[in-house]
Amino acid sequence: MTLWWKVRALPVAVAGLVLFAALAALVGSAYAELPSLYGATAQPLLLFAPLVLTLALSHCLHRRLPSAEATGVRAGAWWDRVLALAVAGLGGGAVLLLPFASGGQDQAAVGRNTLFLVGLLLVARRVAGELAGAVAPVAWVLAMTLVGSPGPGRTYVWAVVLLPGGHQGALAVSAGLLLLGIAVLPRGGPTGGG
Amino acid sequence: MAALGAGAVGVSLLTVRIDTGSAHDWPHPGVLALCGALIAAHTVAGYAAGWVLPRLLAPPLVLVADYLWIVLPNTIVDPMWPRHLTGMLDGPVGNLALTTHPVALWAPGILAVGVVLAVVLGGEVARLPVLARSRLPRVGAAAAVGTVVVAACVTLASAPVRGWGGDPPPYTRSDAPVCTGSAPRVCVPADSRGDLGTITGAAESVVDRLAGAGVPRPRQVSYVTADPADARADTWYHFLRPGAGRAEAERAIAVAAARMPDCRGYVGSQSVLEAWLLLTTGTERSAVARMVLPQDLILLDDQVLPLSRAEQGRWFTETSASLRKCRYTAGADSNQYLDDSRPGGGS
Repeated sequence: MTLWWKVRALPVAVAGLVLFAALAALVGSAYAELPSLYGATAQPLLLFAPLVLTLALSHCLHRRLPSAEATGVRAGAWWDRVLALAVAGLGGGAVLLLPFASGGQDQAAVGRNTLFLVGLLLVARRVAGELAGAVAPVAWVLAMTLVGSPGPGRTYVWAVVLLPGGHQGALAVSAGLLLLGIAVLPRGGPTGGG
Repeated sequence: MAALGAGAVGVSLLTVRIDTGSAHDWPHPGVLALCGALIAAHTVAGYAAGWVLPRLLAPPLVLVADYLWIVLPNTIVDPMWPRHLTGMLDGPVGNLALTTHPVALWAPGILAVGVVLAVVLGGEVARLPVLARSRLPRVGAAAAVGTVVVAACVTLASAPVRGWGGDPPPYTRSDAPVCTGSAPRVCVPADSRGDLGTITGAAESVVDRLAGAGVPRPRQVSYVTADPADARADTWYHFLRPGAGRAEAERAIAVAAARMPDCRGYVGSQSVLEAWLLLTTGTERSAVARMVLPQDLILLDDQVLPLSRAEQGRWFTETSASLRKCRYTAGADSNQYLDDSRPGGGS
């Protein structure tokens, strides 16, 4: 495991979590008028906080050594799954524990969005490659601010990240996408676990 | 990337053109030049980020940072000057006499040039042989030089916009209007050339009727100027949408006799003055009631219309003079005119 966390630059993931928590605390419940094809709509700035986590995670996973790890006996791929789950879980959970958090819709939405965007990152890496995968969560958030809300207080259901924190369907989709992303992470060497 | 940016600007302009039909003052050469400078600056900044940051992280980081730089300053209300440096322009809407303020183009333009300069100079500094061969000191030196250049440009670009509010001050177009007639001379922006006949007929009728009520004749009836400093004492400035009919033109010119500036955030009794001008020029009371607040009409009925013709004229002159300076007049309190002219009278 020592080799694994050195290769994956685990401190980057930890720094990402710390920066995410700091940003979330700093931004708090601030809203901003973001441009949209249907006119500017107010969105919580917390919408952008999970991107710090997806960037940190994509950097860590990108440091994988495919050929060496494919022939090794260490459980690197298994630990990658643990890392992805930990980043999503700790990030999503931490925002609910921050001092400013009052169990409001915005905080719940950030937690849910963290699951969704980490899942999107993992699936996009698998489908489109690591470079495109790293861009996918950012592109999704920006695209949804442009087209995801047809007017004040209204959100298309497929926008997911713009839906209120209590939206059960969005939570289910986010959890499902995260599990799918974990499942499609590259498998390891002969031991099966990596 | 630059071609992609230019293509995006081209599609945006085309969309606006198709959407609005006829856009006045378009395409503005200054706006197009600013678009070019911004595309260059953002492209060069992205190139620099790609040079410094890990290859995997640079594209998403630049994408989100660029977006937030363009969007977030517009949400900051104290201070407001950062929003004037991003190049996210809100053009003057609905007023043919206005155009984009040149400083609103220069300020982001200076910063854009500064970003390009910062990257070029930083790159040159990083290549100096006196620096160590390792990456860190070279990147550090380049970042230091770039930061100094950008900070200097921010200082320079922000200086003229620090006193601005959320929008650039209104800026009057400098191209010559189209004019006709002599008593009064009627002028419109070139875009409204087709409305000149309607406006001239309305102006002659309204000026005659208001002259009969004691309002001095203007030498010129012109489209509104937003800057009180540009306003001439012998001109009535009206605001009329393109394609307006005769009745609408008459109403616009009648209320133009008050010669009010654009007093942003002002609370006063301009509406009462407008109601008086409309009633005096023969607009039906029911039509006036639809155009002004009910309390303004009540105030007019109670305090102004019962006055004599001369007292009404004096009330109009002094109230409009106060409003022209954006001074609060405590409503159309006509009693002060009675007090002044008839000691002991009024309240």
